[in-house]
Amino acid sequence: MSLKPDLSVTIRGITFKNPVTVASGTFGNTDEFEPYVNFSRLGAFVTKTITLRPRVGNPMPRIVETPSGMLNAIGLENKGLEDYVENKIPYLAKFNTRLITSIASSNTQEFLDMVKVLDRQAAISAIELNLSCPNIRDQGIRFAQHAQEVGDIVKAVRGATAKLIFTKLSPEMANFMDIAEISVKSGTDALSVINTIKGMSVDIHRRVPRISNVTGGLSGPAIRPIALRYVYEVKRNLDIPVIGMGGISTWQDAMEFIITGAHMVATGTSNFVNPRASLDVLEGIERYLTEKKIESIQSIRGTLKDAYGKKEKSSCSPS
Amino acid sequence: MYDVEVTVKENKRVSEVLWILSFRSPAIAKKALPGQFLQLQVTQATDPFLRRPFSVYKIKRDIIEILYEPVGIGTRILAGTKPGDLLKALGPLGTGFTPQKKKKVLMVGGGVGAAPLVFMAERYPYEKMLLGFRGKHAVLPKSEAKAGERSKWVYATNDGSLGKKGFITQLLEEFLKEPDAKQKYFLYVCGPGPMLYETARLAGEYQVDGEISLEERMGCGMGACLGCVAETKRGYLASCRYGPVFRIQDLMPEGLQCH
Ligand SMILES: Cc1cc2nc3c(=O)[nH]c(=O)nc-3n(C[C@H](O)[C@H](O)[C@H](O)COP(=O)(O)OP(=O)(O)OC[C@H]3O[C@@H](n4cnc5c(N)ncnc54)[C@H](O)[C@@H]3O)c2cc1C
Ligand SMILES: Cc1cc2nc3c(=O)[nH]c(=O)nc-3n(C[C@H](O)[C@H](O)[C@H](O)COP(=O)(O)O)c2cc1C
Ligand code: FES
Repeated sequence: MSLKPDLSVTIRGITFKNPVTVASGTFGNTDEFEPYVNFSRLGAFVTKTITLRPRVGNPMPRIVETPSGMLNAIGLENKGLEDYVENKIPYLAKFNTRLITSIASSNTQEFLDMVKVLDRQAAISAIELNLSCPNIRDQGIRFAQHAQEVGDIVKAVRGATAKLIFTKLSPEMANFMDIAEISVKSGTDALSVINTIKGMSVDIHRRVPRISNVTGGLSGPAIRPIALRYVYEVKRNLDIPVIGMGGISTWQDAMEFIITGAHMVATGTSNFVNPRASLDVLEGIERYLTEKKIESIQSIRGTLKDAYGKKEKSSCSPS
Repeated sequence: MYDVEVTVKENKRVSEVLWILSFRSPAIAKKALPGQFLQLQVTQATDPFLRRPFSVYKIKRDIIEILYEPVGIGTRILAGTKPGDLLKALGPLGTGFTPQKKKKVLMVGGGVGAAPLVFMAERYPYEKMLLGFRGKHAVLPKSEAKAGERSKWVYATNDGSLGKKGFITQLLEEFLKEPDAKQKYFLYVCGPGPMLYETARLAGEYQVDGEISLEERMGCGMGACLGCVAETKRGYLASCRYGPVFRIQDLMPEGLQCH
């Protein structure tokens, strides 16, 4: 008889029952996946990014399929903070999982205004700062291109809440590692790596871009190797927990991220194809650990060896 | 809603461009309503990655039928499936048509958009099934109508090779011109954008009520990605969840054109 492996992960003293979560914007905001997934089995539930005020989002078409993935330019359509607090949190609070609220804004003051409201919500375990949505044409993306401004936002939010702060980054950020580093220095508790990568697709018959925004964020299996490489870069250089995402569809994909050093993993676009992707990943990880007689997720995290099978020197410390 | 692995029972061609695929799923068969759709996963590979939405066409006991036209990578894979092959089917999803008690129903379909209308016609009474196709080669044959209802099916083809030459909306207008059309008729509509736009325009002009099934490109089919929104008078609504069937009057006509 083998014992059940310990799947729990801890980030700054807060324990998540397992390392599997879902990527913001790919799992809805309330009951969209309830017919398929028992939310109480997830390590955490990350909701779609909200903004202070409602946003209508971009005109159609907003998505297009591309090889092994898709482009999206939803434009952060959401009903705003007030609706989230009034209608979404009461529903999500019923489940025995950790709630992570993703927020975006184009300025520090608005971030602070949102965080002050969210900080009072006991149901929320962590706030994810979406500093990297490539699909809004206002200041959103430009803002987060400057390391100093990212640092200021994270520092300000740090001062306003004791809840966990996750900072979400995208390879679209020109100086990714500088931004990662300043986020850590400014007090983020973890980095969510990665958001989508900008791409484009053209309808050659009508000679128009296939999505109204012209460019959109690429996600799905197509970006997985890139996502993994960014997780690797972060773990090599910084001592910070990472929530790894980008093209994860199976438990094998997820294990690549965990071995590379990710504390948690999120299924994103794959939820659209297999609504049970998150739980399939979770069950697969558990089986893998059980079969290999590895007693905990912590003991395999960040155990990547070099290409010759030796342990890679890295700054990641088990926590 | 269920996500089930299903085995292809039959996959046959019913015209030069239309195919019918069938599989058994007692759970979906029991629940599906006319107008609802399924998200079919046609391959285990990652390309094409997303599932494809298809209206339920017919249900015979616990057998589901899908009417489809191969237009791209996913539907061509579907056309290549053989009895015994496995697919995944998620559904039934979305809203269905609202059955009418008092009014007489006119169905207005374009091409493969006939699918949800035929399912509605299998279950509820209707006055006429007005169907538009590119040409004779593309027509859904009358043998697909319920026994005794063939005469209710009326065709228009763009090239005049079968039925009336022109658009099905021209035939529709004949009915809408009747003096008591407003009180008498209710429309169920599904088809390509220009047809939806013209039907909505006529419905407005003659003040006839009805419902349109939209066929937006979809990501998840579950209301999560917001990639399929319809422009409604209440703002954008995910058509996979709050539709695909909408009241004609609730839709913004401009939004219909680009379908
Ligand atoms: C609710 C709903 C019900 C549907 N019911 C049926 C049905 O019963 N039978 C049927 O044959 N088809 C139906 N469709 C359309 C069907 O889903 C598409 O034809 C299919 O997804 C195309 O996949 P593909 O891989 O073959 O094409 P792709 O290779 O993905 O695309 C081929 C071309 O079709 C266009 N296209 C793809 N999807 C759509 C779409 N939804 N609307 C308009 N253009 C599109 C693409 O832009 C491209 O130009 C329905 C769609 C929806 C949303
Ligand atoms: C339709 C769609 C909507 C998304 N919306 C958001 C969002 O609101 N906020 C956010 O931080 N990321 C958003 N993302 C990015 C995902 O959270 C994730 O970072 C990215 O898709 C990579 O993971 P994946 O390849 O597993 O999907 C969205 C992705 C998709 C496909
Ligand atoms: S297809 Fe994702 S919300 Fe409708």
